[in-house]
Amino acid sequence: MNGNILEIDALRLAYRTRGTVAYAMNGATLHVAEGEAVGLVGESGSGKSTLARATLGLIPAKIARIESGRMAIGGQDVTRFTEDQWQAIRGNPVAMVFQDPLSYLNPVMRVGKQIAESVRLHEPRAILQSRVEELLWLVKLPAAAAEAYPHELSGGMRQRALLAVALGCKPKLLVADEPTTALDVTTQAEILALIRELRERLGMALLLISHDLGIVASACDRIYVMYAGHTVEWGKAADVFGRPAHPYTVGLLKAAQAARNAEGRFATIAGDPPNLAELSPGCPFTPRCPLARAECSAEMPPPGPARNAGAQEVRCWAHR
Amino acid sequence: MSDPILILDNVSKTFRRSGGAPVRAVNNVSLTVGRGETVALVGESGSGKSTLGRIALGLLAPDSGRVVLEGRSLGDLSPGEFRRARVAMQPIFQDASSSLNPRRPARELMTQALRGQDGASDARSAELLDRVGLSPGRDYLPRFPHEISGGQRQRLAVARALAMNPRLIIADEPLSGADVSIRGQILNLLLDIKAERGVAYLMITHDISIARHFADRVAVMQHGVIVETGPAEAVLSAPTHPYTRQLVAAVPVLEAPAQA
Ligand SMILES: Nc1ncnc2c1ncn2[C@@H]1O[C@H](COP(=O)(O)OP(=O)(O)OP(=O)(O)O)[C@@H](O)[C@H]1O
Ligand SMILES: Nc1ncnc2c1ncn2[C@@H]1O[C@H](COP(=O)(O)OP(=O)(O)OP(=O)(O)O)[C@@H](O)[C@H]1O
Ligand SMILES: [Mg+2]
Ligand SMILES: [Mg+2]
Repeated sequence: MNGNILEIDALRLAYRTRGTVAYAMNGATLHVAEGEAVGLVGESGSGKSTLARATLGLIPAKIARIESGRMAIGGQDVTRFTEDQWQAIRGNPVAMVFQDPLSYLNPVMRVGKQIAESVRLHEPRAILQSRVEELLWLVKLPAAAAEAYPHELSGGMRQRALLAVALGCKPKLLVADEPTTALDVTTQAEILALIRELRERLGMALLLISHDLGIVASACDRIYVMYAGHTVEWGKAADVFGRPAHPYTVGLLKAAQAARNAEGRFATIAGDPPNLAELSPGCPFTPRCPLARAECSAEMPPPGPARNAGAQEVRCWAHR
Repeated sequence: MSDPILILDNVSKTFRRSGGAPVRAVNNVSLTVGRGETVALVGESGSGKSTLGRIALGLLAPDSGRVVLEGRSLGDLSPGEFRRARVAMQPIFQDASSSLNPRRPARELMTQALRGQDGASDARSAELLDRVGLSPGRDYLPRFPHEISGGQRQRLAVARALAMNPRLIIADEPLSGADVSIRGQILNLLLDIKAERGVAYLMITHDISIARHFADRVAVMQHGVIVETGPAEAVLSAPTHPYTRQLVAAVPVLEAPAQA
């Protein structure tokens, strides 16, 4: 065991349904050390949720399979795990909260009961009622929320409830897929402060997926940037966001200032998103890239240090 | 202001939960949206924004007060009249999966939205999908909602709402799941459609920056009450109400990168 709770190396995964194919992960690489907070950002549809679901074995084999590469959790190779094997480890050491809590909470079960179920699976001898109260308190829900059904709670409160269910498993790594996407800024800040507090208290690692770059920058030690199934840049938040190296990251950061330009337009990255039905040997950002050159469409560059940037790694020919 | 498309007149809503104390989610709120006007509704979690949005959409009956859409009070309409009147107003929800029938592929969802309009066809559907950044649109037509990503689902919901040609769009956190480039693209699209067709927007958002740059006017909600309202730029760049000041101050700031 080398201190990494999660290791994803050159993972490829394609959804194959009814004769169509989507190459959702094309060689993504991502490591999370024990206790570390890692952020994952990038284009909508680039494979972030796919990566997150893969770490819990939540992608049914009949729609997608890991085609190559490797994934390890706590030093154990899980690349070829069966559903039975996944069931034994789901929730602990890796638990997850999702962007749409309603789809993952049971609509006909009171919130307190759902939290109790998750505690019972991982801590058979816990005093359920007091653990449920403690977890509600931890996520800053009133004790009365235990009696509520998910639909009776506001968006923000539902996400807290889901967080309590996940924490009930005592995970060593919490994968949070856009956990604050639907929340107002005040609550976002509270939930992030809470996650930070829990990480410190429990030594829990975090993999945080978000489109809100400000949140990721403030909550994470390291950042990965994903584009079309590749992780294209990674390093310290200050480097990746302060001195971005990959042209995609540069465009993303420009678009992040949700302000209008002189023509009254909001900034975007020019060009079309990649077509995941086609597998190309080169860098998928080439057609939109201001720095594109001949080798870009021929071969995906290996990771390496960035030039004229920080200490991050980048997969871009302009930096080789 | 020209004759408003939507008037919320003193509406209130209290939720009574079995066991718990009643929650006054919306408390005597009045808010007007002019034709072609963009109003942003901001406020902390649980302040009642979504409840107010659902009342405006006629999905939730207020305990008291009136909702007036294009001069007609929703409460006075028969179910048939209500259904016809409501076509003028389309929702885009925070959780797109809840508004998209999971058993229908994008093609059917779009065709249904375009029904009865001239030029309804796969080509027209694909064109709308292209405009929200689902391109090539044609490739998305056979996909079911669970077969696309969260941000793609949200964009499908946007395309569907636009397909109905509404005069008012009530959007509850419609862009939170899209990356910032797509968010820019959709905001530009909404601006274009506003310019083309004079659509009005009631945009519920937690994103103070979007509220400030996209909306003409902003209403700030706290504990079921609108505590401040006014021109978006003025209110959010120099907030006077302490609560608004606190909301604006809570925005995590991303330092501008020093670019090569
Ligand atoms: N169906 C319901 N039954 C009981 N209480 C409800 C119901 N819907 C909302 N509430 C309560 O009403 C209040 C306002 O909720 P609402 O969803 O309108 O807030 P919001 O401002 O949209 O919050 P968020 O930013 O988290 O989405 C909350 O206290 C919530 O718990
Ligand atoms: N069940 C499925 N069948 C076919 N394609 C799928 C399926 N699920 C996802 N995809 C495709 O795989 C790609 C990756 O999806 P994923 O949900 O991982 O993206 P994401 O990075 O999380 O995007 P977002 O930021 O919008 O949530 C998308 O282009 C999506 O259309
Ligand atoms: Mg996702
Ligand atoms: Mg809401």
